[in-house]
Amino acid sequence: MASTYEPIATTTISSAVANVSFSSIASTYTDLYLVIANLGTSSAGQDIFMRFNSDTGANYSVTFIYGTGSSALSSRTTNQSGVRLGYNDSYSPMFRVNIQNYSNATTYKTILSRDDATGNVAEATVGIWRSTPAINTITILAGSGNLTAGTYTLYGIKAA
Amino acid sequence: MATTFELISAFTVSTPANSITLSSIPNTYTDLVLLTSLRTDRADTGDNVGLRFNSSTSGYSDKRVFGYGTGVASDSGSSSFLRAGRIDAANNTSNTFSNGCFYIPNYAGSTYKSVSFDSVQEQNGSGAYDELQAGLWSNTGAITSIQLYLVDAGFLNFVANSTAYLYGVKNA
Amino acid sequence: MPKPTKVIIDCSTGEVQEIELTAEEIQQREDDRIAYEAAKAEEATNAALKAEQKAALLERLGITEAEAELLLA
Repeated sequence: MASTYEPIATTTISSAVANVSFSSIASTYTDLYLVIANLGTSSAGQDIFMRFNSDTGANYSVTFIYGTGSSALSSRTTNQSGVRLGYNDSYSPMFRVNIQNYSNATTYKTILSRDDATGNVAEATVGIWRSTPAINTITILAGSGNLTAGTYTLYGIKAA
Repeated sequence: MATTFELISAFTVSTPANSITLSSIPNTYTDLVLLTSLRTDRADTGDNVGLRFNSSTSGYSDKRVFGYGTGVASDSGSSSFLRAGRIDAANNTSNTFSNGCFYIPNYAGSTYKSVSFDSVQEQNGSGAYDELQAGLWSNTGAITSIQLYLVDAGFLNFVANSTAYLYGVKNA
Repeated sequence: MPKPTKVIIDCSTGEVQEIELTAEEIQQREDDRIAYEAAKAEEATNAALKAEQKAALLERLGITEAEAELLLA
């Protein structure tokens, strides 16, 4: 029986890098699932972004809902140079990102993301990359500065 | 190829119980996923669940954002347990169980343990809670057991057909 | 001074490489930083303005923040 849920690739970083990319992603899955654990950045309080296929154009938008522990809020950003996944604090934040139908070459690509940064927010995000090519590269980066820690794992999910 | 997403333990309540404990969790996976379907027998419209790792009563904190049908709010918790959602009780719509999903990455590693938790207390009526929560257990020990228990005072239990399914996820 | 690096995981092989950024990538990173910090500054300004307006309104109405939340609940 074909495996439904498969690890594609993983890495753990422990020193400063500008970004982490998953390249040469095969088109053989239906959806992708990215898990980032214990993410760290060179300066605290950074937003974390994702780009597809090295596209740095203003082609990304998000709407997100979040709780700070005292306020429940929602916000939206449009025409950004990356999908905002959420916020990094210093309390072992984690991110889980669903990227559905990533290899479809005719539709814009959407993501659903959860960000859990206990020192700061619990957050859910829906994002869109306004571009139709199949996703073959995913890049994770901080708004400013470097990524300094974390385990980054990409899984493929097959619908049949 | 090794199975990526594997069932570790499946528990269904047959006799009403105040807590559910999943023990002897092997350290051979990368992450854990706990799926719950819970309801209590107390004559109320909701009960609160707590979660503890390794029977530890310290080091828990969380932030959550939640809606309850007529409003939305956010709060923080810091206690002897991790808040694990508000679930249906005896006065909620019958035959309705609340769902919870916990994702625990790197559960066997030596860093503090993050928990991503989503839950819904759905019912065909008002006052149902829908929660997103960021949790943290500030302990560097590997997780070997998970306990779900009912926090509210009084004599109350998880009813029969409440379930807890624990899965292991391997990243290679 | 060492050049900044990036990590690339080749999903077809699982190979992980850490390589230096190109000059273009370094420039892009700087452009990203400037845009991000400008957006954050604007957010902070807007938040401060909103807080100021809220405080002024509460004073005009003669109610506390808790009383306002009660009205809006």
